[in-house]
Amino acid sequence: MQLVKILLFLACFAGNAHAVDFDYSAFAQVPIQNDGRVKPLDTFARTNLLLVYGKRSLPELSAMGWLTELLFTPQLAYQRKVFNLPNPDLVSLLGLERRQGNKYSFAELFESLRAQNDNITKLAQKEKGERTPAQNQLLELQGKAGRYFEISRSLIMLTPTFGVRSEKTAAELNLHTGQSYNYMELSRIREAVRKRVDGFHGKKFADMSEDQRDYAGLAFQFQTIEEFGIPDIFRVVPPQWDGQERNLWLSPGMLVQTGGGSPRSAQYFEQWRALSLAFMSGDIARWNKAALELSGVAATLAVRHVRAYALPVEMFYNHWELYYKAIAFYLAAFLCLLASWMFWPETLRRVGFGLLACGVAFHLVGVGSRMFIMGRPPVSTLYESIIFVALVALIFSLILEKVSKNGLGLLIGSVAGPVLLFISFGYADEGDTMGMLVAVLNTNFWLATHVVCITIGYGCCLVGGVIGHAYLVMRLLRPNASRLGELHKNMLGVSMVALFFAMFGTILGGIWADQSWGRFWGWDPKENGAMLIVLWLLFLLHGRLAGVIKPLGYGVGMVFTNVIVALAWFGVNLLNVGLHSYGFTENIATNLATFCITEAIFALVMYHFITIKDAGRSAAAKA
Amino acid sequence: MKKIKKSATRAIDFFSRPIVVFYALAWLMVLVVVGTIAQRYIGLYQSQMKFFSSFIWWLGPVPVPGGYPTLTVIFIGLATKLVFKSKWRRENLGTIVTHIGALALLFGGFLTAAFSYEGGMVLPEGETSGYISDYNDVELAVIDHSAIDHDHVTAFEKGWLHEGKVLRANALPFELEIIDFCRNCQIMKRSEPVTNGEPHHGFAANFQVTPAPLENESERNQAGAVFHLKGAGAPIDGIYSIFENMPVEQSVEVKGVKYGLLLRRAQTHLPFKIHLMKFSKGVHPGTDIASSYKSEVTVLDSGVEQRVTIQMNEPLRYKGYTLYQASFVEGGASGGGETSVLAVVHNVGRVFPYISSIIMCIGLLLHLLLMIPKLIRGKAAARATR
Repeated sequence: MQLVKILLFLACFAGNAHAVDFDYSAFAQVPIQNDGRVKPLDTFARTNLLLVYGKRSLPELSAMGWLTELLFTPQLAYQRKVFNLPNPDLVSLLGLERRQGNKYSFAELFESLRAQNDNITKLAQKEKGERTPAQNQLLELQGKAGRYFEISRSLIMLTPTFGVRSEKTAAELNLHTGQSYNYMELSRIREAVRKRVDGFHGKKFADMSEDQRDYAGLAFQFQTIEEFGIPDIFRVVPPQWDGQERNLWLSPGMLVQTGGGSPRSAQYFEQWRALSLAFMSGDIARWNKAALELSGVAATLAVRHVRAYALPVEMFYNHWELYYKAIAFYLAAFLCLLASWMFWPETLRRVGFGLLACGVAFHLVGVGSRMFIMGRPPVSTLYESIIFVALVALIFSLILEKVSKNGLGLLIGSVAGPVLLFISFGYADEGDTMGMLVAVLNTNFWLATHVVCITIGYGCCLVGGVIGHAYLVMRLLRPNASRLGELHKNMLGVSMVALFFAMFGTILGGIWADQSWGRFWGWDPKENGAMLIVLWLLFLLHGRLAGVIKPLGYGVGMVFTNVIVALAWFGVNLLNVGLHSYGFTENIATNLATFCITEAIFALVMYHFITIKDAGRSAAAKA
Repeated sequence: MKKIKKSATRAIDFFSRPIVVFYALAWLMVLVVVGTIAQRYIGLYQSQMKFFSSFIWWLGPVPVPGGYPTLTVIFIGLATKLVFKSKWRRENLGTIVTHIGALALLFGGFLTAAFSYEGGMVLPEGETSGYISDYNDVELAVIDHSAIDHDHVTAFEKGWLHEGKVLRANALPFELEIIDFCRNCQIMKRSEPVTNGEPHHGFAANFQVTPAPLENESERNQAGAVFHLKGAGAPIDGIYSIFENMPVEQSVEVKGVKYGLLLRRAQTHLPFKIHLMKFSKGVHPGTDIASSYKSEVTVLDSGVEQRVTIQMNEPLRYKGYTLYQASFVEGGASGGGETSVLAVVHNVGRVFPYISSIIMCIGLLLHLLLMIPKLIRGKAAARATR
């Protein structure tokens, strides 16, 4: 109920802002420390919008527009339908009405969540596995709503929501009627207001005199701001004093509370206030000026705490959505390849090669930007491993195409690239994809050697897997001895390279383990997964050398390499979840199982038909 | 003599065929898959013991080879092939070197499995320790507290802790006959104290120690033992039971000397001591994500003191032992300070992975270099036929 009051109260001050029309590019560059690293506000906005809405922009508004509205005019933002609740069970659990699009506003959710408060407390004490998916989502939603609410209150101390109407009060408190003040400006009169209000405690609002009403209003404002605690998520103030905890940025509220401000931070807050006023007034020219000034001051304040160019590069990375562009090029290359099988084979193959190379350029810039922003080797999370494996596969296929000029490289690249990138998007839903690493992973040397090595191994295996498919299809449909022999050689070559990287990756992993916790090998699922790939490749190669495995068997084996890589890469993570599998991972488990079964069926069916066909041909030859 | 030679030749012929390694690899893959999935149900330690660090395991009623024989067959297969059947030619050089590297890796694995040992050292800030506790094995220790400046400890290790074993030592004026020992036990209160039969003393009078299934995480197992103390005369003789981490130590007084009886993780003493000065944990600013763990310690070795910092990915190597930052307990020290947990490893085979990876790398590069002329020739030949 309290919140509704706040909403109504704040609504009196609502300006005529239209978040849609503003230019946010300057404001988006303001640095913020969040989840352990300094990033531009742009990333902060995108990450948090993704969290509640499920996408990085609204149909009518960019992420920055959404964040600006939430920061400066929360009362309007609370009405915007940004919470995405696709699960109807959750909607009914909240006692809300189902609606087209499944979007709800914070104002709608707030009351429902409030009513569920006791339930939520009890649910939180249970094990994850004991809750239904809707109950788990309810807990998640509560977390998201809490975060959203906290962000909305970040600048509440800077927002001019205080005012007086009577001349008497104004004179007593040395204020002006008709002017708006913020919490920071008035924190000096807080005690005076409290004492004065205590004097007429219990009196009805209607019976109060005009100046008493002013005091009651002020007291109410103080109370509403202080009631929910000091918001600490919006850490936009860089450390200013040497004594301050190193590298720890503060939110405006924290700074006021700790009294750690400086003349420079005071100036910085003044800029924020000016921006807030400009936004509420709806004056675009004023906004642009204020935003430019603010980002200038912010940049000078943060200069010692941010690596040069890291923020602009991140803005560039966010803005260009390089992987989407890479996918577009890869798919275009795929279409060219398809067309080249029907007409103008050589020309179209070359065009396809060019398109694939363009895609790789975008992809490469994407991976490179991430490395620059984080100052880290390319792979440190599962998400990054997918992107990087895709890049490895693509570069490999470009080289293959350049050398063999037969469309095989094009096929591999234009299939593996988009598939892997689409999979990676599934892992980007958890928010900022550039998170900090836990202590044991916090070492660039091993990330650069072991992890890169093993992911290159994965990439080569997938290339080999696609060649295996091509080999089987070609052998069944258009058996041509010389082309098949070439493919077979390609498979052998690729699996050698894959073996090289997988094996050294695995051994380096062992050496890392030996360096970090004293054992080279511990039969842990992730280690076993990596070893399984190595063993499988050794098995195929030695079988081929021993003559037990024939070219056809090798083709089937290469298709199964895909299955083994998928299991080692994603499967072992599911194992770690143990018996408590739910929602998200359940999805992955189903997809993984579908993939493995499809591959297995494909390989076996192809094998079956090829043997029948071969038998028929040799019988015909005999006859 | 001839016969022996003949059978040796036959054995070599058998093992040096690539098919042996081929099938052994296939079986190893089966082991890896089964052993990995099994971890979900029986935990890492038990799964490792059953499938990898084992000679046989039972697949239903059928005994099948575990990790040791499988790896041994691969080793013998590679070694016989290398020594007796390799064609020592230039183009094979890369392959041969690579396989030598693989043999070195397997040999190192053997050394580690056979001779290395490890344990944990729990060290509160401001305290000193000179021993490590095993992660899995327990021992029954009888501690004579009579001396002022030291304790006299008689410890009986795992092999002794079986039903029916009688534990005797010259230093002890009594003997212990094990009635029951369980690696993980459950403790239940008796509905009423035991009054008939042998007298039950102390904890055994009111509580019963019964076997429980093993935990998935080996560290969570709580060992328990029930034994018959004899030779001390009445009223000390009788049945006692103890378990790991008893809140109150079980003690007996025989001939004026007080003995403590306890079950604990097997202890190995180090030739030096470690004193923990400070443990610190770093977090990424504004989050709970740990960025580093660090123990500042002093190594005390017969009068020599040496200050060292042990942290994640930066262990301390000293006299064949390696000490790692493994874990910590918040506020574990009596004075409210932190407690650091170090993992201590003594591994004879630890250089082998390093050596073998270098050898294999050289081998594969050689192979590649030797293959290039062939590849180029192949290309040229192809061009000529076109």
